[in-house]
Amino acid sequence: MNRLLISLFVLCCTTSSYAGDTDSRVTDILKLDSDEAYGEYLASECSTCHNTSSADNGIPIIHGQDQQALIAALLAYQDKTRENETMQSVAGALGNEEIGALARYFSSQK
Amino acid sequence: MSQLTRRQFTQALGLGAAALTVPINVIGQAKPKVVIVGGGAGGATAARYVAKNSKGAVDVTLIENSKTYTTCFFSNLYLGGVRDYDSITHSYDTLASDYGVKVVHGYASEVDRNGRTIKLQDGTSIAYDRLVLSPGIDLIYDSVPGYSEEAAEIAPHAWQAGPQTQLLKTKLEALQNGDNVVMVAPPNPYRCPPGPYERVSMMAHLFKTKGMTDSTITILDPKPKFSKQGLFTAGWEKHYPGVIEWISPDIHGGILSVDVNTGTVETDLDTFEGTLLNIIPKQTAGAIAHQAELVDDSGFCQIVSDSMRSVVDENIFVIGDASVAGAMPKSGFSANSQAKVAAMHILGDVISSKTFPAKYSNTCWSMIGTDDGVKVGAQYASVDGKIASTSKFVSQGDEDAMVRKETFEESLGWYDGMTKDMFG
Repeated sequence: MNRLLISLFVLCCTTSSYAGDTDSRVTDILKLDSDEAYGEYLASECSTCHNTSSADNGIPIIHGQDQQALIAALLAYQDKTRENETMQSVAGALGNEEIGALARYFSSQK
Repeated sequence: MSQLTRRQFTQALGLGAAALTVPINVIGQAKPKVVIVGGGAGGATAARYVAKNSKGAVDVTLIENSKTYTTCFFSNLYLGGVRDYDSITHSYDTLASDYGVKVVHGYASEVDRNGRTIKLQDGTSIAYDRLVLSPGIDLIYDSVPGYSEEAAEIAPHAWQAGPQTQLLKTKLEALQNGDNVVMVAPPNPYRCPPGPYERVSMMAHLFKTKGMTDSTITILDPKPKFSKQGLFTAGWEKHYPGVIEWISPDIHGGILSVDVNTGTVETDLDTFEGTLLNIIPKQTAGAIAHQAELVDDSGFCQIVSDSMRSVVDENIFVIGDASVAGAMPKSGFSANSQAKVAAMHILGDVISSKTFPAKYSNTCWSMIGTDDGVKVGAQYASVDGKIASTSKFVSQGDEDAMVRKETFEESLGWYDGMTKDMFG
C-alpha cells in the first residue's frame, strides 16, 4: 500500500500535475546552489531509516529518486498534505536550503 | 607533540586563532587516531561514520567487549515470539572488512585523559587524539533493596540485551497458565522510556498466543506516568483485557524491597507475588564514564549541545544513554543521531572537514499487539546551549487499524535501516 501510494505520488510529481504554488516552490529550490557536503551531512539523518538495500520494507527507498519529486515530497510533508507524522516532523524542521541539498544528494545516489 | 591538545599546542607556539584550524594530521606524521568505546547504537555508528567520511585519513579503533551485538531495541519482540534471537544479533565483521575499522574485543577499563590513552583490562594501552565514549548504562542493582547482580540470575532485568534477554525468554516460556509476572519498572531517567510498557505488551502477546488466559502481569512503577501511556493502556484493554495491571506510586506507596527467592515485591500497600519477577533498577552511565570523571550528580555526562563533546574534556565525546542530551530520550535512535553529530565534529577537529549546525532526531516505535504499532518522536537542535525539540509527534489514539499496521511495518523498515547504519 505504502509503495503504491509513493509510486503514484512520484508519478504525479514527475508529470507536473502538482499544485501551482508547490510547483513554483520546487522551481525556486531547484535554483538554489546547494552545498554537497551539507546534503551529505543532512542525509545521514535520513539513513537511520531509509537504506539503499531495503526492498520496500515499510520505508521507501529514496536513493536515486528524481530531484524534483523529492523536493515536492518534502514540501508536501511540510504542508501536511502528505500523511506520515514522522516525515511531517522531519520536513517541518527543514528550510529551503536543506530541502534542496537533500534532494540533490539523494537524487545523485544509486 | 601528540600528547598536546590543539589548544595547548597553539598556545605553546603563541599562535593566533587562525592556527586553530591546523588539522592534527598536519601536526603529526601519523594518521589521527579516533578511538570509540562501546559498539552499540552510538559507538558502532560513530565508528562507521568517522571511517566512511574520512576515506582512510583517520585511524579508527572500536573497543567492544562482546564479539556480537544484540540490540536492546526489538528485544521485546523476541520475548513476545515475534522475532528470533539471531535476527537481533549482529556482527562487527563488515565494519572491519568494508570500513577499515580496527575492532578490538576487550573491556575498556580506564581512560588516562592527560596521556590521551585508554587501557583495557588485559593491560593493552591504546592512544587517541579524539575519544568517543558510548558505554551505555550500568544498573544500580541495590536501588531496589534486595536486588543484586546475583539476584538478576533468578529475576532478570534484561535491560542490557544478550544473555539476560535470553534468560528472561527462557523463564517466560517456562510459565504455565495461571502463573503471574511482576515487573518493577525503573525511575527516570532510563534507557528506552516506552520499553517496559512494550515489554509487558509482548509478554501478554506471548500468553495470548499460548492460550494462557489465566496469567496476569503487574507493573509496579516508581513513576506517576509513563511514555505513550494513553496509547499503551488503550492497547492493553483492546488486545489483552484484564491481563495487565499498572500500579502507580500513588497506589502502592513505594517499592520497599524484593526477595527473588520467594518471588515477592514488598510495597507500602501490599506484598506482590510473581512466579517470575522482572526487576529493572535505576540506571547510570557506564563505568568507564565514571572512571574518567565525566559524570555529574545525575550519574550521566553533560555534553556541549552542538557537538556532543564532553563539557569536562574537549578531546572526548560522550554519546548515547551515558550522556545528558537535553530533551532527547535515551534510545538507540537518539544514540545513532548523536553519533553522526559527534563524527562530524571529530572530523572537523582532526582533518578540518566542514562542520554544520547540529541536527538530531529520534523516533521510538512500540509494538502493542499484532499489526498494532505506535510511535513517538521529535526533531532537535541546539538552542541556547541545550538540545531542545523543534517539532514533535505522537501516534493518535483514534487512528484506524491500517495506520497502526503501517506504523508497525515502518518499525521493521527502521530496524533494517538502523542496523545497516550501525554495522554497514
